[in-house]
Amino acid sequence: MVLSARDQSMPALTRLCETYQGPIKAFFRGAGCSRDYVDDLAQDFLVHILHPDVLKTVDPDRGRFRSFLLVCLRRYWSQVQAHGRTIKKGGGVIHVPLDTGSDRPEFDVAHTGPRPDQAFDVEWGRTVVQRAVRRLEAEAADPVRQRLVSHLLPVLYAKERIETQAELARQLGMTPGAVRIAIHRIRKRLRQLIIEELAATVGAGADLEKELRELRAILAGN
Amino acid sequence: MSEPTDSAHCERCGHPLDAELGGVCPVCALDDAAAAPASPEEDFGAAQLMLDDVPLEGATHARLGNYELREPLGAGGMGVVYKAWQTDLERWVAIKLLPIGSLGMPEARERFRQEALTLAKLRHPNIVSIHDFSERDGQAYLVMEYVEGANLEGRSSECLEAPEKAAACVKAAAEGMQAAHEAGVLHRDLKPSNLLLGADGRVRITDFGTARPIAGQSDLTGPGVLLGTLAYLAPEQLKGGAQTASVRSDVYSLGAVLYRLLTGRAPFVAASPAGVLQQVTRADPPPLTLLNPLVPRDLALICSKCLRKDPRDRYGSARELAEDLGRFLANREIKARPLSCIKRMRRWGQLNPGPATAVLLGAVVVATLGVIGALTLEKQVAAVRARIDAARELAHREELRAYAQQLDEARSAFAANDPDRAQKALDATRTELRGWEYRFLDRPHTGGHRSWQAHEQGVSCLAANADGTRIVSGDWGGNLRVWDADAGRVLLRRRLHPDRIRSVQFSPDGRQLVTGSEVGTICVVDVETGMVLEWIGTQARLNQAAFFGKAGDVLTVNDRGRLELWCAGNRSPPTVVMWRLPGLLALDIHARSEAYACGDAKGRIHVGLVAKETETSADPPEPESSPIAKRTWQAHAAEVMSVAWSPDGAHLASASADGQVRLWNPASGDLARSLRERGGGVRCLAWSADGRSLAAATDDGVLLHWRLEGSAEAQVLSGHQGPIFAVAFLGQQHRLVSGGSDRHLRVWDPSSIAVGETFRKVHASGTIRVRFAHRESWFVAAGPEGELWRQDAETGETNWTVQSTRGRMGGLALTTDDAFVVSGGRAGRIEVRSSTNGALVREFTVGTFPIRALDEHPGGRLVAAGGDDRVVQLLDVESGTVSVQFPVQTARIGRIAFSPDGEYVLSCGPDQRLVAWPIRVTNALAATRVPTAVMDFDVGSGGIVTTIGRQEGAQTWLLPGMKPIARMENIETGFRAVVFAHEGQRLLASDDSGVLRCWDARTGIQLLQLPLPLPGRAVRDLQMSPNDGRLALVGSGGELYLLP
Repeated sequence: MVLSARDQSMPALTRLCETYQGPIKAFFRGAGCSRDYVDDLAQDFLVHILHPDVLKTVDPDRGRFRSFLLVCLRRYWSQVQAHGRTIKKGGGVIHVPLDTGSDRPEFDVAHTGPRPDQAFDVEWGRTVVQRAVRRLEAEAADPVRQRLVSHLLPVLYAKERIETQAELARQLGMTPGAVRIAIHRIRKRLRQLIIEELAATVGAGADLEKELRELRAILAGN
Repeated sequence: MSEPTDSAHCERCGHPLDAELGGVCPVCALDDAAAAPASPEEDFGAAQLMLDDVPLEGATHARLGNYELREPLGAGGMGVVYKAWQTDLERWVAIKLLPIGSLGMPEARERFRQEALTLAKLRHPNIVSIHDFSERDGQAYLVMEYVEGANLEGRSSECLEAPEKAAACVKAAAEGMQAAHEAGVLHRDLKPSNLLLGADGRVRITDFGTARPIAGQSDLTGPGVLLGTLAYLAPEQLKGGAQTASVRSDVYSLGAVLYRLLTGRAPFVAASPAGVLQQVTRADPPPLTLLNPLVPRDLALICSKCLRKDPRDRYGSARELAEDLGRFLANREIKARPLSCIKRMRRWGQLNPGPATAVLLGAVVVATLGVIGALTLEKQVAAVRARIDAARELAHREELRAYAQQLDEARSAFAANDPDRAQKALDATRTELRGWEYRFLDRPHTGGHRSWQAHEQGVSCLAANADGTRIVSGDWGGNLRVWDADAGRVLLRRRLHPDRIRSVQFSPDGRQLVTGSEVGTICVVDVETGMVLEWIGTQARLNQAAFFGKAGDVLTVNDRGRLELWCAGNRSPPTVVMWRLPGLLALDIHARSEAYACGDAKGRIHVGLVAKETETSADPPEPESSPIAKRTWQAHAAEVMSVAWSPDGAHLASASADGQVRLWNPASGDLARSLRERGGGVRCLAWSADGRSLAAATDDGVLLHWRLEGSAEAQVLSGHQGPIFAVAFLGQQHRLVSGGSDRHLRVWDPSSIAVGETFRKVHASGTIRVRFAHRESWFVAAGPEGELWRQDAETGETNWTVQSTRGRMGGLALTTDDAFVVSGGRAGRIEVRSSTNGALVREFTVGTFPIRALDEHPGGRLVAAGGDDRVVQLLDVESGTVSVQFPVQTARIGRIAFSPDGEYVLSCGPDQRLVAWPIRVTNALAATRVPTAVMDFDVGSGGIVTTIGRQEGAQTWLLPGMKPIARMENIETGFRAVVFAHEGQRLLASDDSGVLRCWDARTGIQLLQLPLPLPGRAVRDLQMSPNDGRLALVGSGGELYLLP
C-alpha cells in the first residue's frame, strides 16, 4: 500500500488516508490537542506525508509502515511545536475527505490519556481489527447470516460453555453444533482478514508475526 | 445475551470491549491470528466467509404467521418476493410483501389486494397459483406457489441456439395469458423476468401487480399512469398510458419476450428511457433473422406479427398466438403473413401524414408500371437483397442513434463538471462506432489555457498588477516569483520567508509587493529588483497582509483575531484596529473608501472604515460619503475563507470553507445574491476590474467564473490537479490566473471557453485563412492586409510573421511535404515561401486577375489555383508552369479542393455551383455538378463530397457521378462552413446560431452538437488538421479558435 501510495495514484492515497486517520488523530489527541485542532493537524499532516518528497523516503525493505508513519508524526509534531502551523486561509491544505461515514465519533479527551506514541499504536491495533471485522460483516451474504455474525462476534473468543452455546443456539434457532461450526468459521475468516490487513502495512520481508505480537502486546497494555 | 457496550469486558482477557469492533475483543483476535501460521497466502482460496453450509434449518427467521421468510427471490417497484417455509404444511412457498416504503400508502395496499383477487380468479397450469392472502402486524402478504427454477431473463442463451425452445416457452405463456384474458384480466407487464421456468419445464406467469380488469371496474392506476417495463410495453400503452392497454397489448409483450429470447436483446435498445420510448412508438425493430440467422422465417414472422405497431395488425388473442406457435412447432403452415404492401403504406402514412399523399400518387403510377412489366426472377432476388441491405442499414442507424445519445450524456456530464459520469457514458459506447466526436469528448480535459510549473511546492498565493502584465506568486516554502504574464517567463525569484507565504499584494503604484508569511513575518519588496525594502516581524501567525492607503501602511489579520495596522515609518508597535475575534482568516481593503472587510473562523464578516477605528489618525480624512459603517454579521455557517470588495465598493463577496459564495450589501449587511450554496471549500475570490465578473478558487480543483450580469450559472474551468489556492484577474482584461497545490500557474481566458468545452483563442482578429500542416502540429494563417504567419497549434506560439508586399492574400496552400507555403495575390501573383522561416522562395504570375483560391495536390508539388479569371489551373510549385487548364466557368472561383485520391479537383464560387473535374480529362463534358446551391464544401476519403448551402443544409454526394448519399438531419438555415473530420466519416458544420454539429457522413445522423463560444456566434471557416484532427474555427470577426 505504501508503495502504491508512492506512485501517487489517487485511489491509493485516499485509501491510505481513510485507513490511518484514526491512529493519526489518536496521536494528536494523545499530544493534548483539542478536537478541532486534531482534525486540522491530521489533515495538514496527511498533506505533508503525501508529498512525493516525503513518500520518496519510504523504503519497502526498511520495515513496517506503522513505524514509518510514527517517525513522520514525531518529526512533524516537533515542527509544529517549533514554529507552529496554522491550518487557515491560503494554507496549502489538501482537503482529504476525513469523514468516511463510518468514522467513530471524535473524543475530546483532556490530556490525561496515553502518550502520543502509545495512543497511536493502540489505535493502530484497533483499526486493524476494526477493518477486519467490517470486512467480515460485509461478507455475510444475507440478513439471516448477518444476524448470525452479529450475534456470534462478541462470543468468538469466549470460553466454550455448554450452557452459553445452548442459549445462543436457542436464541438463533439453531442447533448447538451449528453454532460451534459457525463460530469456528467466523474465527478462521477473521484470522485471515487480520493477517491480510497487516500484510498490507508491513513491507516485503518484514516479519508479520513480529508485528502481530507487538500489536497484541500494545493493546493488552504490556 | 446482552448487547456489547463500552463498559463490557472480554470474558477471556478482561480487555474492554467496544461496539465499534462488533463486540470483538481486539487482543484475543490478534492472539488468535498470531496463533495461526501467519502467512497471507494461507488457505485463502475461499477468501470469503463460508456460512452457506452452516445448517440453518430450524434457525429463527423473520416470521409471518406460519411462514418463515428465508431468502429474497426478487424485488421490484411492486413488492419484494421471498422464499419462505410454511411450517404447518411443511412446504416451500413464495411470499410477496409490499416494499417498506409503500406500507403507509393506501393505494399501494389496495393495488396489492387487487393483485391477490386477480390471482385468486386465475387457475391455469401456466399461471402461478395463490395459496393465501393475509395481513399480520400491519404487513400485508401474498402467499404463492413456489417455483423451483429461474425466470426467462437468463434463458435467452439457450434459446439462441434452439429457437424452438423459445417458441415453446412463449406458447405456454400465451396459453396462460389466454386463460387470464378469459377471466377478464390483462397482465400489462409481461417480460422475461415475469415468466418463470420451473424445474419441471413448465412456464408460469407471475407478478400480476400491474394487472387490471379488461373492462369496467376500478382501476387503481389513473389515466396516463405508465406501469411496466418500457422495452416490453406495447406502443399504445406508451402513448396512451395504462388505460389504452388491451388483449393485443399483452400479445405485443409476448412477442417482445419472444424477440428477446431469440436474439438476446429487447426489440428496442437505447441509452435512455426516452430513446426507448421514441423507438417503440416510431421505429421497427431490427429484423430478427439479421440478429440471429438461426431463427426460422416462420418464427420470425410470428414474432413480427406480435410486434406490429397497430394493434389491429397483431394476433387477435393470445390463443391465436399460441395456436400459430403450435403450428410452427408441429412444422405445419403458420397463419401469420407479412404485412401487405397496402397496410405498410397505410401505416407509413399514419406516421408521416404530410408526404403520404404525394407518395400515394407515386405509388399508383409505380403500381401501374409494375403490372405492365412482369417481374423477372432476377428482379426478385435484387429486391430481397435490397431488403436485407435496408434492414442492415436500419440496424446501423439505430446503433448510431444510441451512440449519439451516449455522447450527449457524456457532453452534458462534462458541462456539469461530472467527469466520472461522462467517462462512464463514453466507455459505454461501441468501439467500432467511435469517430472524431468521441475523441473530441474523450480528450484529456486539461483546459485550453496556458499553464506552466511555477514552483517546486504548491502555490499558496498570487497577485497580478494593475495592467495585468506581471504575476507574482508565493509558495509553501516561502519562495516568491514574479512572472511575465504574457510569456510565462520568470522575472524574479526570491526566497523571502522561512515558511509558507500566506498572501501577496501589489502596492497601488505597482512598484512594491507586500507578503505575509505563516510564521508572522511581513516583507515589503521592490518588484523590479526583488530587494527587500522592509522586514517586519510580528508576533502572531499571519493570515493575510495588505497594503492600505498610498502611504505604504500595511494591514494584517492574524490568528489571534486581530486586525492590525502597521504604519509606514513607524512599524512597531502596530495599531490594533479590531481585536478579540475568533481567528480572522480573510481580509480585503477597498482602496477608494478605505474600508476593510474581514472574515472570521465563525462565519462572520466584519466591515468598517480603517480611519474611524484607529485612534492614531488624528484627523481622519472623511472618505467620499461612504455609507460603510462598522458592522458585523453572520454570513456563513463555516469559516469565511475569503472576502472581496467589488471594484465600486457596492458589493462584498464572501466565500466559506463549506463552499458557499455569496454577495452582500456591505452598507446593510443584507444578502444580495447567493452564487453557490455547497461544494468544495472556496479559498480565494477575485473580481474583474470592471466588476462584472467574479472568480472563485475551489478545493475541488476547478475555478468558478460568474458573469454577474447574466445567469447565476457558473462557468467551470477545470484543469488544476488538486485544490486551487489563489486566483486573480489580469489587470483590465477578462483573463484569469490561478495557482494551487499542483504547483502550476494557469492563465485562462474564460471568454474563449464554452462551458465544459475547451476552445482556445489563438488569434484575436483578422484571420481570413488557415491551413494546417500535414504532418506536424502547426498551421499557417493569412490576414486581410497580406500578413502571413505560422503558429504552433500546441502552444499558440507564433513562429514567424511576414508581410506580403502584394497586399491581401487570396488563397493559401501548403505543399504536402509541408515545405512550402503557397499564397495567391492580386494580378495573378503566386508567392512560394519556405515554411520554416517564411522567406520568399519564388514568385510567379498566372494570368492577370486576382487569385482567390488554392489547394495542394495530395501527390506532390502541384497546386490548383483559381480566381476572378474563372479558370481552374494546375501549376507546378517548383517551376510555376501551368500543366492543366480547365474550361472557363460561369463565375469567379472562390474555393478549390482536390479529392484525397488526387483524381478530381472541385471548385465553387459566388454562383454557388460546385463543379468536379477529373484532372486527367479537361473536357467540359467530363465535369459533374451538384444540383444545389453551395456555400462551402469539402471532399473526404472514398470520394464523398459534402456541400453546405445557406438554405439547403448539409448534404453528402459520391464522386464521380455526384450521386446523393445523405442529407444531414437537424439542420436549419444559416450554414456557412463545412469540413470533414480527417478520417472522412464525420462531417462538421456550424451555423449562425453558434452551434457546431457533427454528423455521420453516410447516414446523416447527428452525433454531437456543441455550443460555440464565439462572440457574434457566426463561423466563417472551419479547418481540420490532417495530422491530429485538431479543428480550427474562424469567427466572423476573424478570431481564430482551436479545438484540441
